Amino acid sequence: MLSINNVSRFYEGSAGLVKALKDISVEVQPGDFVVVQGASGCGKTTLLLTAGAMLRPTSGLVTIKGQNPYRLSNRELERIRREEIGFVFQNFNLIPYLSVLENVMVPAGKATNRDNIKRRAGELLERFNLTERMYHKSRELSTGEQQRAALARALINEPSLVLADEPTGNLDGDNGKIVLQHLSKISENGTAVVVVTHEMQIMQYAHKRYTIEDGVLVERKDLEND
Amino acid sequence: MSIFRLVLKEILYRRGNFAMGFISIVIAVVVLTGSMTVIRFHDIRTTRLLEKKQKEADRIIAQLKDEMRVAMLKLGLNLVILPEEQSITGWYVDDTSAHYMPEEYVDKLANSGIITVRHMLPVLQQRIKWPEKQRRIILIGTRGEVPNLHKSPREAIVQPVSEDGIVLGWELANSLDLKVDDKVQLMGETFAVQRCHAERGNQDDITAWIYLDRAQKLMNKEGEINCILALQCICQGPDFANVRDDIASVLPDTQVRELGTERRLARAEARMSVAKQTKAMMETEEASRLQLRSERQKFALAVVIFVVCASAAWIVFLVASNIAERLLEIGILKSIGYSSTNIMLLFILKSAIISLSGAFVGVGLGILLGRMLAVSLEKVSFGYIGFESLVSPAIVIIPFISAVVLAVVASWIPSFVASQKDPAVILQKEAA
Repeated sequence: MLSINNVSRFYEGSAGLVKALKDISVEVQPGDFVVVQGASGCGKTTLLLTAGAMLRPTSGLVTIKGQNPYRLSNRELERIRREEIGFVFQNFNLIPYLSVLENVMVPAGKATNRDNIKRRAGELLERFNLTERMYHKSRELSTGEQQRAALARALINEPSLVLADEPTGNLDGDNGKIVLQHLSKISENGTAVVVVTHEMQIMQYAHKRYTIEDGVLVERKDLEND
Repeated sequence: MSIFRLVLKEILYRRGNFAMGFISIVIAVVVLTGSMTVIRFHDIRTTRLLEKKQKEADRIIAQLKDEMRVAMLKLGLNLVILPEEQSITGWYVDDTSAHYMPEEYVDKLANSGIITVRHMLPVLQQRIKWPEKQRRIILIGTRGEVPNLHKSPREAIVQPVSEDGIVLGWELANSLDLKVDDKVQLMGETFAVQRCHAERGNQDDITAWIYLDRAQKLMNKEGEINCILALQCICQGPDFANVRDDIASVLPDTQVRELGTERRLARAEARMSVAKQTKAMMETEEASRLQLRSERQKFALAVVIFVVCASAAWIVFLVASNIAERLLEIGILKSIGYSSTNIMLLFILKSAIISLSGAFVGVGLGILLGRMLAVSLEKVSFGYIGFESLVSPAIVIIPFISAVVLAVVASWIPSFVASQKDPAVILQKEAA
């Protein structure tokens, strides 16, 4: 599904060359729930963005469903981002002037029939217990509700890969648990889920764990066999 | 969700940003439309003023024509009566008639009782070669004026030639060195020089006048003449139809032509003078209005340029601040597959909507304020030019197009910069 082979990512910082990722390889299969762990600033988000066809690696190869997104045309790259990948952010990043329903519908663009999108968005919101909140603006939602709305948005196009950056970082324990349970269910339905986090409670849902320190992959552990 | 819907939602959410852009467009459009309205008002007023002046000039011309007609009643009209069969072309080309009529016609006319014809001269006239002098001359035989028998005698305006005399034109007398009382031979006959004319600058200078009877004998045209000159006739109007009718009633087998006279010259001069004065008056008025228009146009142009530039700068600032505020949104939209073009459209479409709504209000307001300003500048009543005359397609369409072009052009660069933002950089910053 997702293959990251010997990927490095360097960039020029104010204090000279910053080596955010060094020769990292990660393999994700459909239905996998993969956790990338590490302290703040270790390169987790950089890895997630590189995996999500957002940040071109300095060296190494990234493939999504066997395609290197960084060799595709802009139009194809946009299609991959829209149809194959769903992003979930720590700060939810819902668009403030849209209702919950509209936020969920945004990634669908106008490619599909509006009624179909609306129906699918309604189903997702029902799944995440947000039916009663669908016409509310994001600021009127609790943080847990916002993150569930963000999850629904990530799933509107039925992606094969969900990338979540500290999805429980701004949530209390109960809401964090609900979000993780949803992510777990998503992976059980065949969607690959990659979560970068420094929290430990997620481990009970994960199939694989990668640990990064200072941009270097220091551990790869298969948790299903434990 | 369509881009257009996203834009509308954002406008409704950030009303302040929309309002500031809207006001700036309204101001720019009001200034542009107002300026165009003032200039159009000026043009319409100029047309009306000039039309009024033209009417006034026409009235003056008509009045002058009338005055001229009355004045010319007192001016003489010089006519020539020719045989009916004489062609007009022949008369004007040769200046003599090739056809003849009985000499008694002049007596018939004199005794007819008509009052319009006053001084009558029977004339026999031919271009001949003066054999003794080897010169081509015009020989005219005349017997002086025939008095109107029913009227009191008037002073003759053409002095008759004596039976043995000859009157010479200036050129003939000069070149042949002839003086009064000199004896001269013409076609074998002897004549005494009775008078030598001063230079007249026309064919009279090569003309010799002798007594009519002798001329008829010399030309073998006894009892015949080829024209009658009728001098200082009385005319009732600007043409001589009444005189022609009078003569036709007495001499039906003749035709009447006007000679170049003081009457015709006076009429032409009067007309030219009036036309000249009218033209000058119209030109002065037009030049004055043109000058005023030019000054107003220059001022309006300066104000429009200043306001449009300020408005464009303000829109650039508003779009840039809107982009800064929505940077994370740009990152999110790109991460979920929105293209750079989509991102650009978000901002350009917003500017277009602001400009269209601003232009809609601005055009209406601009026409109203422009009209009020024009009324005040032209010092006329408010209803002098109605909206229906003032509003032209150009006054509506040009500001609309200008507003959209202004907003789209002004927002183009910041929108392009926004569309090129790297979503990874934005999202990394957000995560940090």
